[in-house]
Amino acid sequence: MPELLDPLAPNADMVISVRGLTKRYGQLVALDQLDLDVHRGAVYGIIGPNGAGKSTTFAILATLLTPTAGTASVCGFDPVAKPKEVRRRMGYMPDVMGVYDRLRVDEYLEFHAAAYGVPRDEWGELISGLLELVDLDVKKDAMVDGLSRGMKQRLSLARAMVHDPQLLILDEPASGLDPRARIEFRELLLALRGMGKTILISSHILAELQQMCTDIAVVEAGKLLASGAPSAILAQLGSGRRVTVTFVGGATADYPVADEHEQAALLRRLVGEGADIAEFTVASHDLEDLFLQITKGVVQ
Amino acid sequence: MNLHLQQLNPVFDRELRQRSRSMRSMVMMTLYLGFLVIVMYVVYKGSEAVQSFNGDPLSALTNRVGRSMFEWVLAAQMGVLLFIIPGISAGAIAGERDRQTLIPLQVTLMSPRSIFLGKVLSSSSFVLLLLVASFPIMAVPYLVGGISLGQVVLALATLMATGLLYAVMGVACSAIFRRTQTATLAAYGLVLALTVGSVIGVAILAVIDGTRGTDTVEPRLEPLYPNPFIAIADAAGDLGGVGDGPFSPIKDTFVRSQFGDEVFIDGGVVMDANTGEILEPKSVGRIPIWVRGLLSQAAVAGLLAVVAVRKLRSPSRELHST
Repeated sequence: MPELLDPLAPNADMVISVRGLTKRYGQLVALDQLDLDVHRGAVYGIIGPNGAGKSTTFAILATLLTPTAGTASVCGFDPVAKPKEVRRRMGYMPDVMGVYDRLRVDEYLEFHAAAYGVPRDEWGELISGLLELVDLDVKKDAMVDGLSRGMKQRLSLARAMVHDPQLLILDEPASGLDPRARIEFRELLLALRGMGKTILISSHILAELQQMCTDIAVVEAGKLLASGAPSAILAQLGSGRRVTVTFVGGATADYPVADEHEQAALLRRLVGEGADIAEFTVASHDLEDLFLQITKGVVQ
Repeated sequence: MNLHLQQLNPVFDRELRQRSRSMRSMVMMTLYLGFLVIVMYVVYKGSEAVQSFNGDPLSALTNRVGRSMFEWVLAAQMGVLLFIIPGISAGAIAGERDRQTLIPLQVTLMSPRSIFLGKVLSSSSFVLLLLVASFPIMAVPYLVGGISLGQVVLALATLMATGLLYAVMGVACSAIFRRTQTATLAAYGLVLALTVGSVIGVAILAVIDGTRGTDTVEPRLEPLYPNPFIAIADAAGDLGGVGDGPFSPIKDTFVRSQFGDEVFIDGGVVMDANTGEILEPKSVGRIPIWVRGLLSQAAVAGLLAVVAVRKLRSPSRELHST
């Protein structure tokens, strides 16, 4: 009987819990005292510049790497002490998807189903369902190495789900995809969220994360800079809203406003002062603003 | 419950599928068998000419021709296998790293031992296929004469065992070294160390022995045991057997280690060079040399396999998969 880390903990719906996670490679500190909590059913996005420690965090949670210090719990199990228990419950999609040559799409998934110990009599239905989900059912008999990049990414996601994990760890799943493939991939992740899967995801495409994530964490140089619901973090940044006024003649000015009342007051004041306003645009902070504001571009 | 190969070892099953769709395997097999046929034909024509000139009776002639063909084909098989095996096995795991397919495999429920075993089975199954395909060629010297069925079977079994052990060594190098090129170099280096290196080792011991002056203790031959040519030479007949095939220098070395340099060897008959007395080379200990050879190769392969499986374990302190 595998040992649970903390089966009676009050946050029993916590799928990932990380405390003081640190990883050093000699003098290089890849992760520095990282804390994370991912709730069941959440889509948790980790954003940060290259070298921020995102992939290192994912590798530790995916049972590939041991931390130098700190603890982690994935689906209630320590990924270092009980890697097999974690692997049963977690599907991992690395940032680069390697493919086997001379292997068909269905054989690729059968291979991984066998490697996860899925009973053979379940493979047919399982693989058909997965291929349908990732919209590759028409490519069932195609060779894996002949697929487009977007198709390979979707196949990689199907592979990560071949043992029906409760948690998906997706490292840059949309990198290198064209806009259409990215949109399709985002739709797919939203469908998985609808199925109740917990998803931990990193991406450089911040607008996408904003659309699908319930929580985000901003990391830089191995440190956690901010975490929480995107709206809460944006609110912490300030008003979360700004007004851009374009005057006749082309001059522009930005005004931070807290809410609609302040926005209306600003418009009254400018008109009262006799300003010739050509355009009055309200814009909210987005994840890109947040990212630029919080991070300093520090790379380990 | 029906257990399929795919469930017993998914890696082995997948590799067999991929290999069966590759033209490379068929080309390699054709070249391998073609080479053996050429070797056998050249030896046959060469032996026939030499033995006719000696004026031996027909039965002795056919025995010597058959024996010679058998030994040369065996030596050629061993040489080609030692050349092929590092090439097909050293990329087994390092190639997965290069293609970025190792990480998805490591996060499955397959143990590092199963992954390693699947790779070894895959590499050695091709070697086994080559050897089985060579059975008809090996049957020709047997039909010509001069060798027993037991010797043919034992020699082929020794070849297969050697193939398996060298596949283990190659796959182990593939797990220990990150890049395919490095792993391939290491695997070929290991083959060189166990073949040429073991001979150099014995030569060094002989030189050291010679500096001690005349004594009754001959230089030790144990460093030769991991040499796969020693095992196959012993399995092919005994090391004091007849014939002037490719294993003659090995036989000479073992005979001289027992009787010193004052011997005359003619067609496997050992005589005292001074008195003309026929000497009977005694067996070196109770365990046959081919067994000792395979055991020493197994020791090297086993040690490397342990290190390789440890390298494949995850989580690890560093990401060996990238």
